[in-house]
Amino acid sequence: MIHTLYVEEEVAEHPRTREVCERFPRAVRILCRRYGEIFNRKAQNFRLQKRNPALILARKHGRLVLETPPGYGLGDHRHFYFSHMLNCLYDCRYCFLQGMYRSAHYVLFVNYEDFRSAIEAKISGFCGETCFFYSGYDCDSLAFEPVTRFAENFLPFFAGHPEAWTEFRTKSTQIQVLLERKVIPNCVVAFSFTPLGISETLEHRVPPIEKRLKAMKELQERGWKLGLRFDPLIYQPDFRAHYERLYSDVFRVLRPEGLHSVSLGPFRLPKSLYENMYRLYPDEKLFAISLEERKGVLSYPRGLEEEVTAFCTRELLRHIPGDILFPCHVPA
Amino acid sequence: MVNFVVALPCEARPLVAHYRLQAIRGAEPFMAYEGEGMALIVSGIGKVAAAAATAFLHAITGKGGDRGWINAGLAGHASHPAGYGVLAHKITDHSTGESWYPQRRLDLPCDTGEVLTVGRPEKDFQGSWVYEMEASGFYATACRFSTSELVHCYKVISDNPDVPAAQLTPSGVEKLMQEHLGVLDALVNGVASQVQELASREADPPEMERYLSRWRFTVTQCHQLRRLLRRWRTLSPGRPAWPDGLEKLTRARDVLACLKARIDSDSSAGRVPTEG
Repeated sequence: MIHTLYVEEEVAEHPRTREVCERFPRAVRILCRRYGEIFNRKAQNFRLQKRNPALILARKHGRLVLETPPGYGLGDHRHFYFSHMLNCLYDCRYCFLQGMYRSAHYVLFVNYEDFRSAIEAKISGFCGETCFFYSGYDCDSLAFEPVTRFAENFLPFFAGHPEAWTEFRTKSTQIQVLLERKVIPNCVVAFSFTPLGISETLEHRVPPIEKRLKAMKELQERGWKLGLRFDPLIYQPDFRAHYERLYSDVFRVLRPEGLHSVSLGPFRLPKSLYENMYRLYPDEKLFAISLEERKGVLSYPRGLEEEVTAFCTRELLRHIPGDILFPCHVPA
Repeated sequence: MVNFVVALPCEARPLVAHYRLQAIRGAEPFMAYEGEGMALIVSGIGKVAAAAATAFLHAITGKGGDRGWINAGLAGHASHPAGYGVLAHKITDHSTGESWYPQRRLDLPCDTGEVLTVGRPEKDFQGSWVYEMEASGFYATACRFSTSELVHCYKVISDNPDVPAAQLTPSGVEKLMQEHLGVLDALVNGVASQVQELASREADPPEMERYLSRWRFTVTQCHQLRRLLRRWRTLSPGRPAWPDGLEKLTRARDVLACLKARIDSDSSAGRVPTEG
């Protein structure tokens, strides 16, 4: 439930702003000049704010579509990401957002039309190359769909650009918008998972695994291309049993031949973000165990990381062909 | 710990009495008071005075950790009746145009509104602004010392077009403030529990003192020790953070190395689950 809406003066009359405000008639509406006046201020506590985040409606300026960092993305294509929203409805303890932003408020950039123009410019700029556009980097692509209508707005756009691919990354079960329309062959709906015990402990407010799998099954039956994202891989003493069970649960429900891609990546965080997260949650086991720094990125000690990654890769390959498995490479 | 900043002695008196605060000696040039988990300073009128008093109170009440900060006082409004209470959700400095956005609290039985800090008393109230003279100086300063979720401004409407400020008397001001002690209590309690939560998160691990009394640590080593002991407590709750063989060590850096080795070994040997 949103109790407070901050609205940039510049977008106060934008149709999408009006639409969102109408959804929350009882919320207090506060005008601001730029969202950074609220979102980027020093002296904010992400953990305290996360209990009751406000929604900020703003215009995104500058570079709207960015290249993904090296090592991310599927295969040898051009990979871009764009963020129509900052912050996520869920509260996953491993998520870098809590270390990256000072504020836990949600920012929704309402100028979808500018994002679409920027994506079109990239598509024509890389004419002939396959371009991927990821939307779930700074938020969950679908979790806030009833409010943002992001998918509803961008699916027709990508339907009109079959030469480009898009990925909606989510932990949500908000799939109605997908079920209600014709399948778009260049859209991948990618769901993230961690094993049950880890999910229950670290992924707060996230729908249970079985509900996410049920949503995926429905989408698969309708013909949507699906992705599976096991990123981050979280270590625990009996990780083998946990991941075995997770994969067995997943592939009991999903047909491997209907999958577009599966990716996995070890738990890792840039050191500066880790320090922010540790300050917020000093009593969190995830941050208390021993991590190693390699090129500014903290991860499990190399042996442990390789053990977890190798095991999960082997297990996955028992269920899926190798050509749809994409490990995420982190700096060596 | 919650600190109050108020402009006038007559605004302060009901708070001093309600919270049983005692005058702090040597707080000149301000009047300041303290009591159980609370302090109060009388700033005088204006944003510069409020900023100075906020910094002064911070300096004399200790610097450790986040504290709650509340600016309470009277204000004017175009239409709200006298006695109407408003918690600021936006504070704008009239002279600079800069705005701040205090976190809205949903646990209080009062409305929130936009506060305009002006440089001189205003009689011509416009729009929905709550007019007053201290909030911007107070808020910008208090946010240097505490996280903004703990900093709030609560204003009681004292004057409007029907009730000009010239009619206000000190006893009338006291009465208005008195009527809002219930809301201020709720605000104090809400803020104090957040202060407590942050303090307990930042508290030294219980074993810290034992280490400090046995070995000499540099400031940097103290930070390292604190972190290692916290990790130990998180990963092995209930197990004394005192590895075997520690007593034999004479140098602080060897103590730290010993602690770290033990935590690393427990982590990678799989004795420490991430979940649960």
